Amino acid sequence: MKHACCWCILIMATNVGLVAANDREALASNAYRVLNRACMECHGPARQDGGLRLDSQAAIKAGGDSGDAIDFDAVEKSEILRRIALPKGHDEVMPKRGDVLSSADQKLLREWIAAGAPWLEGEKDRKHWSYIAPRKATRDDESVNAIDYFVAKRLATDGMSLSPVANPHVLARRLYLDTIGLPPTPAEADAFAASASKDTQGAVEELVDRVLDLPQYGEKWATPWLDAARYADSHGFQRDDLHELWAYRDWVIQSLNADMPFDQFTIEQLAGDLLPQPTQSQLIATGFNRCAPCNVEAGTDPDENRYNQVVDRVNTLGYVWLGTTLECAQCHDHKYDPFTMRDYYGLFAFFNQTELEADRANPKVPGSIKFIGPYLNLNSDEDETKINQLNSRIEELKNELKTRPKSSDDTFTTVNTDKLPENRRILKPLEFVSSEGASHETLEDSSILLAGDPPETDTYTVTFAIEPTGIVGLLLETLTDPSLPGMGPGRGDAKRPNFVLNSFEAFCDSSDAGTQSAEPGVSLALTDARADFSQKSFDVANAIDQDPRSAWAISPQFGQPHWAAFRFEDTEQLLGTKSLTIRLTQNLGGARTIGRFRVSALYGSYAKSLPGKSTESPEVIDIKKQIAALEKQRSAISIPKTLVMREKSEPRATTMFMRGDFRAVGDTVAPSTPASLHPMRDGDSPNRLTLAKWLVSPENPLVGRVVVNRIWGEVFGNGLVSTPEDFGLKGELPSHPELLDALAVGFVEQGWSQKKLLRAILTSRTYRQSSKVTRDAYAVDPMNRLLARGPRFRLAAEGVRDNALAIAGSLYIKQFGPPIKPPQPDGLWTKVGGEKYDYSVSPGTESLRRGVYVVLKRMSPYPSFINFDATPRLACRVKRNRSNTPLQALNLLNDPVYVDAAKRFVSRVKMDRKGESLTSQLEYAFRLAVARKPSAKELDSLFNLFQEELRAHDSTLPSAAEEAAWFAVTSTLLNLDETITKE
Amino acid sequence: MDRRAFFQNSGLGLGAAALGTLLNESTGAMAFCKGGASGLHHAASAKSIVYLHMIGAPSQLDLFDPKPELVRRDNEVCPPSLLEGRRFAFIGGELRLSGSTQKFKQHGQSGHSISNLMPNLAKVADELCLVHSLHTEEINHAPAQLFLHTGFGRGGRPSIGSWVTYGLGSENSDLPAYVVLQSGPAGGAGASMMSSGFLPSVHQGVSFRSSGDSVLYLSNPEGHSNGSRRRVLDAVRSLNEAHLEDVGDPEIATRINQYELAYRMQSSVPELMDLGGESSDTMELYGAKPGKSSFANNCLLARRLVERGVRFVELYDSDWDHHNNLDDRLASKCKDIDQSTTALILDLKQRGLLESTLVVWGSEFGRTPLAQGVDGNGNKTSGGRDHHKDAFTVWLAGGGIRGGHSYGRTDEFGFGITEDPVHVHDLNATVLHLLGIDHERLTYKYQGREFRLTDVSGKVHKAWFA
Repeated sequence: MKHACCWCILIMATNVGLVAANDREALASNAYRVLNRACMECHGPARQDGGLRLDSQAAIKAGGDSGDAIDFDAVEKSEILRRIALPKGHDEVMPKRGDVLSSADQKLLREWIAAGAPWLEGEKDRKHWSYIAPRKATRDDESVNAIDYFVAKRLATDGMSLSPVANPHVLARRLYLDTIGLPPTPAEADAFAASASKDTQGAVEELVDRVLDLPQYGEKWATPWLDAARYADSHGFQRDDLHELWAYRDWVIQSLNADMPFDQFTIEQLAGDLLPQPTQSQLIATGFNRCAPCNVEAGTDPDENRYNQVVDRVNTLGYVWLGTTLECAQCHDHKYDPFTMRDYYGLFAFFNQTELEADRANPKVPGSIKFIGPYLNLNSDEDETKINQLNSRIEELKNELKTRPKSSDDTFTTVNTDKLPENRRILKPLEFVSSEGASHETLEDSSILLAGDPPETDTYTVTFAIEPTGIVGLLLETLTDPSLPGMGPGRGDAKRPNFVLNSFEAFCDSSDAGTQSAEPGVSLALTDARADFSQKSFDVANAIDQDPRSAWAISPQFGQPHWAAFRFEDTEQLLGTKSLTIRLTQNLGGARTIGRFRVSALYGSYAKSLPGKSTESPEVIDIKKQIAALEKQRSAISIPKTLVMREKSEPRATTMFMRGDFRAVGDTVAPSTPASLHPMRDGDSPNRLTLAKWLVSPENPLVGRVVVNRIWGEVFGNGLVSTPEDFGLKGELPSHPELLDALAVGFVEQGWSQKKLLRAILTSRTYRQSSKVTRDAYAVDPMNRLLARGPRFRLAAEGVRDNALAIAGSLYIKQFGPPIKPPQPDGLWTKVGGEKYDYSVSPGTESLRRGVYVVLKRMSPYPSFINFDATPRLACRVKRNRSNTPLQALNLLNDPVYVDAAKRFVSRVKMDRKGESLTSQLEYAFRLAVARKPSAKELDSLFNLFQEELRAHDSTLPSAAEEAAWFAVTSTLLNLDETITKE
Repeated sequence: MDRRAFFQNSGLGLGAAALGTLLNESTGAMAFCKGGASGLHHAASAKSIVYLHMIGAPSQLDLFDPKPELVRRDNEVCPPSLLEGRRFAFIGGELRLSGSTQKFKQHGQSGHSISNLMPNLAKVADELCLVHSLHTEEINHAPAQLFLHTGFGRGGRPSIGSWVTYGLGSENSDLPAYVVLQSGPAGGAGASMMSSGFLPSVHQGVSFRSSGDSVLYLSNPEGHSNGSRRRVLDAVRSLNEAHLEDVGDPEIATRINQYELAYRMQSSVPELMDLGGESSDTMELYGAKPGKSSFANNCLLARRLVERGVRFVELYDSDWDHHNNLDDRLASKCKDIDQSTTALILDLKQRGLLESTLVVWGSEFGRTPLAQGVDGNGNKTSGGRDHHKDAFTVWLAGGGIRGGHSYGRTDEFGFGITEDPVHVHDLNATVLHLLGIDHERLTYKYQGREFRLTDVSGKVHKAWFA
């Protein structure tokens, strides 16, 4: 049988009426809501397309250019009803743009017209539901919890009721997955089933109380929050360098585990740095807003990048705390919701007070943009003490050095040109060309400093004016600079700032013939190469041999200047020339190129003109050695750090930016909260801390609803408001408004405890329902908005992997720390700009840690997670898609991660059920995967697969055949829809 | 057997209403997968598209938009009046005009001016509609690549390829609808250029790679035969079917289908990637070599994909960012693509596919009429050009395009547009139109807003149509 004909997947939309419209008033109000939302942009006060206006009863009755909109005599013939019933894409369908009206909304309008299109005066001015503070509705029966009460009440209006309780093993698995994101062992599921057979409620409560305290809870629940926080381990954009922010991710996990009240959770993340005497943990929390992507691509305008980051912070705040699409107001007043452009920039002003996070190292060189945002060092106290000790010892030794007489000949390191000996003259560059177009700057001391993204290889061509009389050779100084990685002198990376100079060539100008040559002049023969230091096998003489692969390099003497000198073989060639060109070829790759250098001409005696060997006393040499050793010790202590928010010392004035363009400066705006919401407290200074407190003020009508809705959505697959990011006019109405409000009020009353909220949900009868769906129930409510059955949907990307590793028994539950790298296909981390990284799989069990620890490089994210709908976290996201694709199938079937899991799964079964019958082993394997017992038919399928696979391998060794048969079984189990689904 | 029949026979027997919901409110705007020929909103003139994106931005002034005045005044200091209101990524200080050193000639009946760097393409000049007046909003690579693909300069939104497949679905049940082929390293915007953004991830671009698995995770695990894998798939299927019967969730039926499609891809993709069956004439025409990773091979693969009904094929070719050594580097890049791009047009044509296939050649922006020869410090560097967002050239061919047409004009130096400006949103709107999509009506509701590829603007340029 051939199945499927396309790549489409199915997401079902509701077609049940969410509003039980019983009376005329409710009908009028609901109809107004639909018209307002769907029609009035084009048929309202602002414009009247087709001459039709729908914002008053008289206007509706007047109809439009093409006649009556409503036919009261023959309701079904009403033009409005005809238009809204047309299919999406039809030329005449209304609304013209966007989705067609849901069947519920269509039904509502039909009923409304049939009832004579009743109209409520004043409806227009009534506040949208979400801006009115939630209240707890009274319940007839206080003995039933709010969830079950309101769900049952709503079902009853459609003559429906709750489904039976799920099979206890299935329920146990659901509970484990919803709390810690990992499946129960068969023994754990059995224990629950046994106690549930006596008292289901008690068994659920006992289980929930126990597992909510497990440290794995925070790891499971961190993921949706990290999506909202757009947490990642790299900057994003072209220069997608890794940054250190994992301490923030760990902070989220720890805070969730500690059940930090949501108001405090908010305040610390938005403004921990502004709290009085903030703790290290409170500073780490501010990493929330340092998660905003940062564009460090060469040529980027630092101000534009900063503007975009602030915009990102405001938009994120809107989605996460207000359930509001604030970003619409970046360029104009919000079209539907009560937020003006001024409101937008009022919020913008709160976030506008931080330092640039990317800036040009040299303001004149656009390519020199660098990531500079504030980091917080996270030394342990012990490390701190050790580093302090080392620092003070190094300082002492350096001071001691200062008291010693300076060696006479180490001037080559200084920029002070006064002290140069007579026989050495620094050459001032007239022209510099990098073959790769690298940016550079000529410093005052005539040295050339390279900037920007270092190219892999580079060839420098520099021209100087010279005085040829008496010249004997050239001196090349390779210098350090604070802007170079590890001080330089190489450009590659901070650990090994080496350079590899393949050739050093000199040319004098040739005004006569031969100008067609590709060479920059007449080549000058060089000889007698010397250097202060040459790396083993990279002698300085290599730079002037004819072998393009041999080279001069300076490892391991990084972070200090070096020199090389070359003598002209025939100085007569130079007579009469005025300019000299040198060419430095560096083609090893890996940016092993020189970061800063200077050239001098040598006169008189070649040997005497050289900087010479050190004339330092043995004592000085010894001190220097000591310093080097101590510095090495210091750098061996790894200093973890994390990105944090830090306020500028000087306040920055905020303006509006017209059309959202960072260059189009408008009126000045003070930090302020939107006028349509509750006011800020008088007297508080208008900073982020005040803003954070304002967000979690009990007066805020939105925050409680928005937060409980997201948590509800994680459990049931859909929020009570199915648009968790939008509680405004364009968002969906709550399916159970009274329940949403009861939960929101309760959440605040219960001290903003996320665990208590989750406990209330998980211990409800509603949650406990079986997720089986009958044909009839499905037809009525495909999206399960009315909750007549339990939740059933695929695990999130991280959950799919965690679950498989847990089933296989290979999950390593170590917590926290720098990100890990599981195996992924080669060649995905290609470099465009910025640092080059090798993707090296984390060693041993490290690669088997939970998904929340997997490195997220925004421009090349872990492909297996992307396949399962994780995002690269380039922007705040409060709800993931849930798709169903062939790439997911290939991923689970063939990714070495899952192949390895299937193999370990085999070992686990054979070890745990050693010596038992095949049937018993197969049953155990099945139960590890999905917790419940297999049906006879299911067991048969596995048994048959096993036997067939054995037969197919009958020519191999029996043990190998058995291994293959088992692998087929565990692969099958890991690929079942049920295994990757919470049901 | 199609999905409708599958549901009817799946033992689930969903009612007609539910079935209607499943089909109509699936994740595509198209009711279902078949279609496209007639377009989503109006008749389509192209069924498929091959989008050739030159990562880094080729110089339009050295290829398609000759500027004699610029050549005449080469190396003169640029009058400040010409620079007013313009933004550049790198150059500053005293800026000098930079004339092209390439030789331009008029070609074909159309008289398109094409430089000597594209001798082959010049032979098909009459197939091309040259648009000289494209402009964009972003001046750095990653944001501009995102802007071109998603209509927005930062991440998170769907690519044009995703929008198109969301709108039109696929014509091939064994291959993804949006395929990306790459020569050279990835673009600065990386995977986000082919991201489905907030659209369901089934619409993401699938990269067919020339080394390793051509699609990630396509091959069976080492040492596992097709027979073994088929037995596993059969077992997965029978267990999934049993479970579908038990719990009734149609999502399981979809999962079963996707596993079957995955299995078919394991043969359809290698078959596609294998150029062994192509005649030596064809291989020569493209300059393709079996097993090689090259733009030429990718052009040939693009034709094979289009032949198989793949909706959106995108080719990235990198290293067009010529801030220096422009003459040498541009010549060498043109050598990489000139023959094979031309071959693609000729080959599509001889197979009767060109009329239903839209070919677009372009980049995230263009390059300045100014030399990037003097950097911010007044130091001279070798000759190149900086990023230019205000006027650059893109060309289209095939699928409903008026070959030989030239659209839009730039000023005598190529700084700005003097006639018929085309914003990136306009280009995207026009491309969608040719595929039978009204860009204002292909929307997706996300975070409270009806998003579309062209944001709140976009104008269809009908003058380009045949």
